[in-house]
Amino acid sequence: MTLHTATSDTLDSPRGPGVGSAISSEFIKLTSVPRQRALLVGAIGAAALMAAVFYVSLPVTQGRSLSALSPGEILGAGMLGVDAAAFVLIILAAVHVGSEYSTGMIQSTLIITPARGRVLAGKFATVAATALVMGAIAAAVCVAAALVVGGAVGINPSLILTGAGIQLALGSIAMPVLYAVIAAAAAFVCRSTALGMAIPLAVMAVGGLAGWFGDSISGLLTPLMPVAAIHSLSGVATGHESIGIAGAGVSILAWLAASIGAAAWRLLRHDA
Amino acid sequence: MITVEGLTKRFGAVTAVHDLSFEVAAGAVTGFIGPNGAGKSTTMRMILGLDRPTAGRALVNGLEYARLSRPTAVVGAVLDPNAMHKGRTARAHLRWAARAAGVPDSRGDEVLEQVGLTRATSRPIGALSLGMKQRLAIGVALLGRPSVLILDEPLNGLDPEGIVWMRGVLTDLAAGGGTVLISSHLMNEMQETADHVVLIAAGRLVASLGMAELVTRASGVVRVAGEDLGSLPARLTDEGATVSVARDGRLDVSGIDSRAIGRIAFELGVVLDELSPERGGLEQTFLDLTSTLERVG
Repeated sequence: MTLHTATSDTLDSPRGPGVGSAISSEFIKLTSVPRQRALLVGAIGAAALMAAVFYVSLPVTQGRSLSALSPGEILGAGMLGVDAAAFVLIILAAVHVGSEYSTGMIQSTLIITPARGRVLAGKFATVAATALVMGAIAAAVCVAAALVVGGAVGINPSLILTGAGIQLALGSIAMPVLYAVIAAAAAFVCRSTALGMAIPLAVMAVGGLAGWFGDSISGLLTPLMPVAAIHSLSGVATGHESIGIAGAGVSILAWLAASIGAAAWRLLRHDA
Repeated sequence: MITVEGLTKRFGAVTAVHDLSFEVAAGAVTGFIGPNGAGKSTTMRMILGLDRPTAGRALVNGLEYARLSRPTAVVGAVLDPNAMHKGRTARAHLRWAARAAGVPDSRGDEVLEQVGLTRATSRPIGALSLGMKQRLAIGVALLGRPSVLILDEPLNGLDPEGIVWMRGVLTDLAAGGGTVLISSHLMNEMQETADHVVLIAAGRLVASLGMAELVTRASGVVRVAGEDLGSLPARLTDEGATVSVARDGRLDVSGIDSRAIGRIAFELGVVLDELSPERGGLEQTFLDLTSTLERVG
């Protein structure tokens, strides 16, 4: 066996791999593990399955037949499939980051890329882009399901694909992206896959359950939670959730900044 | 070259590495030796920028590791061959590493051939033996054709063939002018591999010396007896040994190990009745050197 040494072993080349290399590397990591690939497929499958379950169970839970529902209600029921996709993408994001620590691979990652900011950028860009694409596909699947179900009960597609319907579909995509980023950040901060899953679910639960603690607490808490931003963006916010499109944008950016900031604090300021 | 200057690492009240300074020269394999918990891995982690020193610094070719713009073109390192995702294939593992390192994917295939893993490329890492994982980890370390290799306990768990292969990797790199630092807690293991040794205990430097010098020190006093030793004392003196003759005619020889004495006696046709080292060789010397500091630590 012959080993080749670098042509210059004392001079460091001025140009090294950049953020693009880190993103590309992280994408390979994410897609090269069979279980993680299964989660990608599972996110779409979960969206389709959940939409189907809602359509089948709607007559029972609502006490009305599908033909008695408005086009908006038909679409709204189907779009809950995106929530299911978001759950699966939370798991994927937590596993993607958490496995770096559970396998010890974070050592190799940081030895190959000692610029930790680049590692962080690569991880979050990959998680966010994956969640965006998968969320968009899940939303498209749910819209298609709504069109099929609507068509079956004689609703014209144009009544489903209104401005409000499109806003609902597009706004829903923010959910998997935001929660996947929170999951990745939690896995970085806690160095744990389990907590990476649990923390975004807890954030989700706080938003959903804030109303249980009375109007004054809900009025304080609900507008600050991601659910308010996502529902406002989707045009389906009610009560204390209504913070407007601009407010939703600010809230989402604040949650992203806080999540990535916490992960950066952990990765950049502490030993690996 | 690796330069460690006044390196200190504290974890709360525990000082894992204390004011450690040494150099690892190019063109040689340097063994980094110490008992378990001596601070070897922590020192390597600080050299590689994984842990931040409490004080001091570590430089690779004159730069801190994190400041190297193409780190994999300078340093290849393996701290734990098991630190891989078991569900990924060997080829996929090299692919992500190649992408992150900024080297072409084709380099991953070259490396797989270099480390002898071409027939295992599509197997999940979880199905590879420890020796194969060690080879794969070395493959990642070699992706950027580095001139510096830093390996933590690289011979651990390897079968004899793997040990011979690993020694070949290390000596080839050193022979080509590269810098090699490998840690171990086994002195005899290093005797076959390293040209120079840095001994630490309780996070402090015990000694930094050539392996030949250490072997000489370790040889201690060897008792030699026989009915007619003839020219053996003179020959041993010529070979650099110190020879003293006891009242009973027995020789106390130092500065040369017992194997060499036996070989010389055989060449001279001298029949020996006794050839017994008074101390236990390299391991005993290592224990002698490190025991004081360990007690302090």
